[in-house]
Amino acid sequence: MADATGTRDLLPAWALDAVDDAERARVEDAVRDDPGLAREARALVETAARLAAAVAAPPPPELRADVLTRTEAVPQEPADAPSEPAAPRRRASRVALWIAAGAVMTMAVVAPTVLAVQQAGRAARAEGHVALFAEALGHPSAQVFAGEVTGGGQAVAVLTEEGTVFSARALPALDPELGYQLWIIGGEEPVPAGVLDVAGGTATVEVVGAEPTERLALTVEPAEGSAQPTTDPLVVLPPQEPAPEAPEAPEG
Amino acid sequence: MPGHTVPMMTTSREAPAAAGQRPRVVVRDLTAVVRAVAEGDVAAFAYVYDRLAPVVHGIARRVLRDEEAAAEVTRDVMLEMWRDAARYVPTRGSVAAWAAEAAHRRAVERAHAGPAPVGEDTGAPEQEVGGVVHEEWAATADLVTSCLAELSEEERAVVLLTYFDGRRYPEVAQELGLAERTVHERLRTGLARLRRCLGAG
Repeated sequence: MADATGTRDLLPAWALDAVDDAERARVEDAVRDDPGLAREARALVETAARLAAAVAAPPPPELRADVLTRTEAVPQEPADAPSEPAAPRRRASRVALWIAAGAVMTMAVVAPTVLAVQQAGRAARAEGHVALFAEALGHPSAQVFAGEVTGGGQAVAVLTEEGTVFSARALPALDPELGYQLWIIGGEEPVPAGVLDVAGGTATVEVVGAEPTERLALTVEPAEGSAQPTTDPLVVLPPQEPAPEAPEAPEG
Repeated sequence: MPGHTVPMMTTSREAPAAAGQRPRVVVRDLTAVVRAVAEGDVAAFAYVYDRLAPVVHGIARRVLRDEEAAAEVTRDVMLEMWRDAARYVPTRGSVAAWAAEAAHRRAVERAHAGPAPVGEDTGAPEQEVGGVVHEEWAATADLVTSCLAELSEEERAVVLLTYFDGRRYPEVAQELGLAERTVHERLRTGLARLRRCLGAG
């Protein structure tokens, strides 16, 4: 990545469309290659969007019918093909949920949007845990977020367009009638994504769904899981505030 | 964030503002609606139009200072959203940001392609954003105005000149008699403050 510092300096101007085409291309290439930069870029573009909203003004009334009518003449593009031509969509392996050594995933309240299957075999589990992160991190659009878990522990989430890998470690043990429950926050209500059965303070989950995963949150709930969160989240990833740089994926 | 309580994010309801607090900016979650648009649902698209065409038109109009040119940008951007609905991925950002970014970029390109805008001369950067504000976005407008007020004069000047007046950074540097490096630095700190103040992630 040539002149990374210079490109990073252009990010604010880029977010405000105050760069020329060559600079824009340079910044967008850098953003594609760097998940940290991509995160920053996204936040700046969201900030700019709020500036735009501040001057919102109604378009001419006749424009609405004109635009709606024109939809008949404008064909819709399909979703983007994956940018790596060779990588096969390994649906079979995506169904497998790799779990950190010793942890067993409880399929609690599972909405149609979450697929979670336990992977047996300790050695395979440990290997699979690392493989899962490696696969996710290798994805071109991967973004990594980390956060401290309120009450103890750390959590990491790797977000890709195909799904999210969430892992937590050093979670304090809970009373037996309680559990750590994962939630997907993407729409009106949080969607339950399973109760972690934590072993050695560690658990890893891959969340794959038809609905886009906007954020993941962890709360303490009764051990059998709740339909809706009954406590405040211990961690939310991606965080709603500026987050520190993500650490290495846990080896645990 | 140990010990910090993070409120659950409700993206489609307005949180009541406590007395003396700023109103929360509501960014309505259009992700599900855009998915319907991707399936060819024109009614869903009409909903997206009603929510976002004012944002698109407003920023285009502000940058171009021309109602007709802004309407053309609005038409083009909204049809782009229809065409590319299946390509929208939430990990890239909110639907509103997609619309606003497409609108602003086109407006700036158009402004640089044509003659100078015939609207009022902006010799000095405006201290307030001004303009007609669509009622749905009135709370956002107030919040943005108050957040802009928290910037230093220098930060505000570069933000207004680049974003709202559509100037590129070398022009801003020249206009304000600053090094380009300084413009970038003020944009960086100004945007960072706005990001925190507006809660933009």
